[in-house]
Amino acid sequence: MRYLIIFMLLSINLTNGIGAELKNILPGNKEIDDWQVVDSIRTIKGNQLFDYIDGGAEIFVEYGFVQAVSATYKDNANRQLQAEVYEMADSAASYGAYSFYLNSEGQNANAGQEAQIIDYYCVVRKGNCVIVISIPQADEGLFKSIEKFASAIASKYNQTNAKPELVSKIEKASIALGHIKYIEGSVGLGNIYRFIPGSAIKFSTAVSFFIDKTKCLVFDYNTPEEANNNAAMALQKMQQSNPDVAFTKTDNGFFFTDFKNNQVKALLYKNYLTFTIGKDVEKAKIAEEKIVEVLK
Amino acid sequence: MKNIDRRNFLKSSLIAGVGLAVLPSLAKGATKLSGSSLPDIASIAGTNHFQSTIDAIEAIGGINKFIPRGSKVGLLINAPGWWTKPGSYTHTNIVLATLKLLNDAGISDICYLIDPAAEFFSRSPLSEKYTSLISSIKKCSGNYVEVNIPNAVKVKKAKVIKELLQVDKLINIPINKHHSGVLYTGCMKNMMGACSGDTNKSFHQSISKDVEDVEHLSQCIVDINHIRKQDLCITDATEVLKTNGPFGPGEIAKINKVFAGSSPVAMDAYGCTLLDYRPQDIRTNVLASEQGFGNYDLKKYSIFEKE
Repeated sequence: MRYLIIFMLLSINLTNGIGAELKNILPGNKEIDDWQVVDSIRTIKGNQLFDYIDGGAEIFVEYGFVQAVSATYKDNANRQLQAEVYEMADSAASYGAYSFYLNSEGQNANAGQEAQIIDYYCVVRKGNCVIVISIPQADEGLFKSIEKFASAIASKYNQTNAKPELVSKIEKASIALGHIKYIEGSVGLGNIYRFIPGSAIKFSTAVSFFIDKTKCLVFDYNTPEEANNNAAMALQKMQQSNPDVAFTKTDNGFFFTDFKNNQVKALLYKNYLTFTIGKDVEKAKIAEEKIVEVLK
Repeated sequence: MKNIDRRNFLKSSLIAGVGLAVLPSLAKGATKLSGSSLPDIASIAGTNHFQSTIDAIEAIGGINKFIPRGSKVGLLINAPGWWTKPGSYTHTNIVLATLKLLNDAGISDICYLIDPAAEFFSRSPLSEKYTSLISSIKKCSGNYVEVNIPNAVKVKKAKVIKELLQVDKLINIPINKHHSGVLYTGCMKNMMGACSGDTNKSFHQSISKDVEDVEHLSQCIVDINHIRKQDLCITDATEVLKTNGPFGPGEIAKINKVFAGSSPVAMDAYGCTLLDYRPQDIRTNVLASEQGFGNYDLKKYSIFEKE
């Protein structure tokens, strides 16, 4: 389905020139203070993303990348700023890619549907787009310019959309400390927690967040049976790859201790497979109870 | 998944390989040592990255141990124009220190295997002191030639910059950063900088949601490392991307370390620990080790660390 959407969007781009429209949402010369475009605005489509961001492309591709536009700007003081807009396949993809940028030390910014600013960059979610404004090094004097760019670009993109349902559910319950990351594949998961082997858990959607100091993962499956089968498969793969680790089965899951001395506890609940990861077993237990309460 | 304390881990390897007796002399300014007492990797901490680079190279035996006088040298610096965000590119002072050591050692035939960003040297005020040295380095030709890689598992042919095959010695100067695909990028991954865009693109299975994409890329990276030996590796672990690499923006880790050695696998095995990975967590380390290209087991190496 995801590929069909990407194909359709690409087809529309070819015939209706949405690519050109996306290009137009980047500010022109002196549209924002004295900032001027260096060279020209670049449009990146499909596999060109690998030319543009090399290894950074994998995560966008995993979420469902459609196209991007990018430009570098300079002001009269010769200071530099880069603006990038990534158009993703759907709302889940844009939230996922956006959440990947979120930093626990970032502050909310006023742009798009939601935005965060930290040190030297600002990331914004607006509809199917992720907007990234960055400067070569942290410079508080440029914070206002970063926010202006973020806000101006976001306001030119009319579409808005909802977050993935599971993210909203957890947000509404206010159990997560800070932001919630949305994951759609092994590249994203590998950046959040490294199960060994990396292919241990098959899934299509998951979320990650913290409850106190416990890292929590919730894998969302279509049916309890699918969740159960994937948990069994995950346990089998991990046991094979980690012969020195003691895995203990429970009535509805399993647990083990990882190389950082975290207890990693898997729990099957309805169509979900949850993991709580932390050194403090009591806190992890409380986190698990909170998750189950939300998933009820 | 057994707990491994990295400090003890490295300390024990140091004791086994180098011997405690050499520690004071190295710590006081990286005195040149000789013979078996030299470490395989020297890692120097400090905010003077220029000096850390010099100390690291001196600690493993000095520049001439790896690059004899009269050699034609290729520099593979991870600082092309597309890496613009903090923590994504090798820092200028590390390259300047390398150039100084080469110059002091009477090595003047130097070329880039990939040109650094136009503004690369202007990022450091120290560059003003070395303008003639900087201008003496030959630009990359931009001409790629096809090479066969008989020992490769996946990449049997690759297009590489022609100078890669022409230089006598290769100095690899990557940045030690996060990579959202293969998790870590250091010496082995930086060899992609000497390959053509088409070759590199073929390493990605592109529009795929298959976990094997990472496995495929990891194997391709290992394969291109068969093309030629890296004679000296100097890795920048000063201010690096800890998340959202290799492109950024992401969280910056101020590790303030520069480390040098000649085994890319050992260097990467060490480097990934600075980003809180274990060597075996990085597939390129594992595949390279399995295929006889090196060994990710840090216990096999003597590692000198100056904090």
